[in-house]
Amino acid sequence: MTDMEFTGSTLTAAGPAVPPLLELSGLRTEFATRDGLVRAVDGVDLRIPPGSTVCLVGESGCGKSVTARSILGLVDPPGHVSGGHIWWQPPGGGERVDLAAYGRTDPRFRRIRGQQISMIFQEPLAALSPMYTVGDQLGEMLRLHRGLTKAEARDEAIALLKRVHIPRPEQRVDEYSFQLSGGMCQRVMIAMALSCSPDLLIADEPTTALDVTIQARILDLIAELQADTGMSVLFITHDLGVVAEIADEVAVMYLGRVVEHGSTEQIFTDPRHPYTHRLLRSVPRLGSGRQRVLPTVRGQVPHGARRPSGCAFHPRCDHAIAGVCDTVDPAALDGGDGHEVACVLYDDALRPDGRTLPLTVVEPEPVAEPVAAAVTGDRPPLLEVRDLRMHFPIRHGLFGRTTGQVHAVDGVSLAVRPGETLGLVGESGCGKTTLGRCIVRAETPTSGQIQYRAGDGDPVDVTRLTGGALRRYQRDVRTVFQDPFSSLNPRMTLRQIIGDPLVTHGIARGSELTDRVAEMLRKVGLSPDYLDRYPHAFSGGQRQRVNIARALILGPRLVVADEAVSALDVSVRAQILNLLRELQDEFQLTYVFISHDLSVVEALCDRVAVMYLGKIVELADTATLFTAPKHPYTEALLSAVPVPEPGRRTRRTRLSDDLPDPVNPPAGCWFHTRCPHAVAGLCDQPGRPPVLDTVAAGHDVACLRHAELDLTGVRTEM
Amino acid sequence: MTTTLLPEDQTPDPTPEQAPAPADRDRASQWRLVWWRFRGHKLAMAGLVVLGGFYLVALLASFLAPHSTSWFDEDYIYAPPQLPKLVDTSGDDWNWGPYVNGYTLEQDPDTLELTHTVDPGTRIELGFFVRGESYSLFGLVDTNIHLFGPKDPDQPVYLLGADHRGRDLLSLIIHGTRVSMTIGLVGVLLAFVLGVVLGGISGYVGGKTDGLIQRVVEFFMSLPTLPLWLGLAAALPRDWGPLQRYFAITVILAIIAWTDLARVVRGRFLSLRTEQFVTAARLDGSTRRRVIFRHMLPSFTSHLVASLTLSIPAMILAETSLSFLGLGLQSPVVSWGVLLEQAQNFRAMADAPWLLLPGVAVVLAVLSFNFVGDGLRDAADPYR
Amino acid sequence: MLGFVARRLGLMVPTLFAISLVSFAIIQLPPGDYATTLVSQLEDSGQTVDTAQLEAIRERYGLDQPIVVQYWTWISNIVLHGDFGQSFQWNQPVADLLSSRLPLTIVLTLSTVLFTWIVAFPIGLYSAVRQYSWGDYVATTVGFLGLAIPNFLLALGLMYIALTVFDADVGGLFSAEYEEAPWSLARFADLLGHLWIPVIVLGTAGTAGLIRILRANLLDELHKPYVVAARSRGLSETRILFKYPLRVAVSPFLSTIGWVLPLLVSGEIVVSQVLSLPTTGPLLLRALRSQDMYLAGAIILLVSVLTVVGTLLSDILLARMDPRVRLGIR
Repeated sequence: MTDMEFTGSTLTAAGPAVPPLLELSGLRTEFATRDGLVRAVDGVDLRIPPGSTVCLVGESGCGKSVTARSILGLVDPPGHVSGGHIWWQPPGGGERVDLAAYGRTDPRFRRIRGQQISMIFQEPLAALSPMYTVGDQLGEMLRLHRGLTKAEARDEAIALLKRVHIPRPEQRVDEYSFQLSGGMCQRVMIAMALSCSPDLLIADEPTTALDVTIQARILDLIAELQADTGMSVLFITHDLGVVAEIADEVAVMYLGRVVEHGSTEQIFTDPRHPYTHRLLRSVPRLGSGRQRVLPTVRGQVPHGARRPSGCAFHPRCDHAIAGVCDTVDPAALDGGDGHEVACVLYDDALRPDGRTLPLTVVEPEPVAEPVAAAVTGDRPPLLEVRDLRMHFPIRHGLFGRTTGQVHAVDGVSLAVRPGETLGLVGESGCGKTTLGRCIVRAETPTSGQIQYRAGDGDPVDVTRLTGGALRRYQRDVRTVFQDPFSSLNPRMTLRQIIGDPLVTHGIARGSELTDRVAEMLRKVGLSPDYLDRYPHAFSGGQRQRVNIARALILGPRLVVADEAVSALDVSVRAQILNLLRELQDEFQLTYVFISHDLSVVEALCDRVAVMYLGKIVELADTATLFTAPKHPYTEALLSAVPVPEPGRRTRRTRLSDDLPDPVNPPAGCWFHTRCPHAVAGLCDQPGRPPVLDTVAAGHDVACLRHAELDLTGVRTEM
Repeated sequence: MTTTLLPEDQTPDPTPEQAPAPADRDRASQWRLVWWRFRGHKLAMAGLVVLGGFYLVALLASFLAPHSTSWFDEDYIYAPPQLPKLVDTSGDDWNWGPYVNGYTLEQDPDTLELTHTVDPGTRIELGFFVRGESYSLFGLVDTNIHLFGPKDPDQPVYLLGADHRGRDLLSLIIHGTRVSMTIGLVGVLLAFVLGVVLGGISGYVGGKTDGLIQRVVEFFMSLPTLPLWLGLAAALPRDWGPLQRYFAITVILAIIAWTDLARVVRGRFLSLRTEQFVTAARLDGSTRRRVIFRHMLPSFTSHLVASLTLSIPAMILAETSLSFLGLGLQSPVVSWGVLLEQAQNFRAMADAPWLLLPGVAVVLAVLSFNFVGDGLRDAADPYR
Repeated sequence: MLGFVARRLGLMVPTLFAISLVSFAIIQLPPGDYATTLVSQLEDSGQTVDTAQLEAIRERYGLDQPIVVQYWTWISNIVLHGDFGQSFQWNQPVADLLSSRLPLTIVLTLSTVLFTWIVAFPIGLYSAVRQYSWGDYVATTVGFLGLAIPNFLLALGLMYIALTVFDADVGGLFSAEYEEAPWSLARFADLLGHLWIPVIVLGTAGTAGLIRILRANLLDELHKPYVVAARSRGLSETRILFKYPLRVAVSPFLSTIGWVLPLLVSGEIVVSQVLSLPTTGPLLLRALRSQDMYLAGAIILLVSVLTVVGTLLSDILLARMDPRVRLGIR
């Protein structure tokens, strides 16, 4: 962190040299809900200069999507824009128009939507109609806005698809959205958005639903097109890594307001608002190694209808001034350098004596742990997976004939050592979840073995267990589920949910059960008063604590956590990760941690296995894997992760987003179709698929060229 | 925040005024949440009240009706309805107390047909808790007290008119409530058993069994139902008694109606099977039975109740149609459909349009069931 | 598309077979066989029966054969020769009895389907687009009532009103002078003049159901992301509505033929009985009452087969409309 003082006067004054393309002032958007009126957007001020990328960042529920939709009048009832202005400067000069004055179905909007301002959305598949071909929907816009004939529109549509790098555009143009992958759909959406050369592109979390590898390609594409056309981009995201990657300016939102706005450099090196501070610090950063304790933000984002008085952030703020922050509504203050912050700490009139700026960090810097200290390699493995296969038949037609098989897990061997945290990473569909489900025996594998060593006795093959033996195994090996909402039965109280395993295993009932459940609730940081409440009373983070409690109530030895923090906001995610670490120490747990998020895996795991199309392609301890990967796929995964440090923007290895069909995998090395280092005649030979080889102590790689390749991992700089 | 604009937990709710205190909500079980939501649907609540009334009438039919089903007076065939009045102003003084006007009888000199007209000059006193025919209430208490009726039991009182045999239509409708409102219930219960068992097997077992059951369901759904009912009903032995016939008809109705329920149950089972909390329950060591009965069934009983409620009206309409065509229940059993059969005689209907009144009862009952069912369906998933 | 039709046709075969079994079962349900029924009929009218004659009848219909053979005789006669057997009540071949009535049933049912669509479509559309408007409330109320009123009651009510207010007899499909006349333009016009009442009566319940379905589907679709996306591309509101959500909402609309058709065929029986139409419905009722089972079985068979064929046609139409169905994506 730099030591730049907030002085306000020494910084260069930002003159209003270029009038903004879009200017929001005091924008308010309200929703009538059962809990009363929710101001999802509550007085947002924002300027987007021509040709620049402005990122709107914040946790879920802070109103960033609604802000974006309000600009184009796309807020559906019961929501409506209730106040403020949306000043739009039409291209080629002319009067500024106030879009807030247009109704949502105003015909004047039509000249602006799609032609001057276009938008892309979070769920590309849902944003395309399944009833028409891609070409039809793309051509419709061209004919409508650019007056092309049907034949011209088709040719132009193919040209546009080519421009967004869609392979075989002549075929794709006649396909339907549901025949394309998510990444392809997003490219189609981008092609549509660009078809009329807009001046502003609004991108509403366009990569959130996609894998990191695909995300990197989409971000590249947007940047490339922006460089070509000179359009401005308003990019909405919750991912600070993405922000650092692409933004020129950043606006941080909290509960419907912009609390801080500045250049990317200013936000990342000199964050001023306490919320921005905490947000930046609670994101695990790729390359910072395994961390003992992650910094967190206290509490969670409150419900929109229960907005705290004064500064909305004050209940979670470490720097809150009693009697001021809970009463005074902070106004945005410009430091003179275009860096605005809405916090009374920066208001000389309101800041009490003795408070100094910049803000001082209250808790210690994240502690890096000595590499692989906790892992004891000499003890026999707790669990050993041998050549495990899980094939799902694909059924077709009336009588369910099997026409093919998805090789979800295809010959995986791996050992889990007692006390370690083993990470499983890979793109969606790589089989990591299925492997986890096989380990806990939610699925029965097609073939292979899972040897489990209970106590000091001989190992048993888990895949063959049935009845009582299986139930005993499932006491020792438990799961924490991904989705905090669907994993808890909404019709049962916490006592029933957490206590149910005790009942089914005949361990406790009655008051003993209550005592045990209450004790477990305390352990996971929930009040025992919650015993008789139903899951609907709790937020995502709290529900995930309940999930953990249910897993631990049986006193397990191994816990499989499948994307256990993926559905949570960054501030809550760090809390749950810390809890998992504490509980691991307290109960001497072994974790198998499945995640697509490499920075979380790096912070938590001792060893990491990388999976691709049902196979493990690389396995090593975390530090080695992240700094010196040996498999091109690992390298590509690592380089695709956006890092929340603007200085580290680099050219990266990019993978094509044209994934092979898992039913008919390519010959030879399954990765060769996407591999930047693949060599024809070697990697694509059917006779020689690569096998997992040990290349160094504890480092296994399945690549034919691993010896000759010099791959780069993430830079470690602490 | 995926496809919706609103942040989680902020979906609009139709019951802003009914929202209970948050602390209560946190501890509210599924059924309380369903009830809170259901309460907000005014039409559904109205439907519930009307249905409650109907079943009360069915329960107390003998007491509420002035006459039994077998009572008739041939002198008053097709007598028109009388309007009950509270006060008699025809005399010098106002004469309080409920009464109706009597009839005068006229004979057409050409056709010799008898017609009745209400005679404003005469006056028949009505009373509450009057003595009339004796009956046995709930099969326990023998009594002859009726809620209301003429103070002199021999006087003719036909508030809703008389039918072709001189029976009191009001009494018949009241007694008909019993059969008409229960045949739907019994039929639905039978269909429910069939539907839940087959749909449950289909949804839980899946695979080939599911495929087979699905084909059977599709087959039944593609058939025009009424001709089938008619065929089956016509094949019932002629010498069966009313009770046997009643059950045979409910069975026939159920044979056709189970398909819808089976589909609902199967759909719910399939979607629940993939829910993480069901997997969690399995991994918690629950047996298959425990998973089904403790974790899965409670999750869709509310949906099931809604579907059941919504399939009752179809049953009532089916019974009414069958009986109307003379192939369902038959006299001496009294149901609304049996009563309406009289209206099939076109001349009779033209002369005595009040014979259509049982139809009003049918419409009212069916509407109420639809309202309640719709309300239940909307409230069935309070966690959405 | 061809593959889809072939698959769908393949599915129909077992259904048709099952229908023929059910129809045959209904023929067989009443106690006794055709011969004994004939005997009792003849005896009722005071005639005596010749045992040799009886044997001849038994032989002709294979009544002394096992039940499987009887079924085979029955169905092969129908499929190969169009011979549905003999109606003893009318003493005519069943096929002759149906040849004049079945076309009218088909005309009535198809007209009703068309009526149902033409009325339900704009109302459902309006109701969804202007949700919670006065028109929506009226449409919803009418929809509820339409579902709750049994159609024979509606027929009775209409007849009563026609009789008392307009002093007109509304029964039948033809005026007296055209009843036996050969087909001509005038007779056709007369048919149209009579057809509308049964069509309204028959179509009300289906229309009400369709309005509700279309409204619910459309309300679901109107807030889907692809509608918002289409709006963000600057399409006009009408274009958005008609091109995007409506197209999706119409799919279930088309597939509703699957349940509207059985409903109509059922309703036709009751309504035709009340309005005394010269269609198959009243004939079926008479046949069932007098246990003229060959006639009844034939009608049930034909009507069911027609329903299944109608459903098939609507499925093919649906597949044409919806690429997801056509390409087998669920």
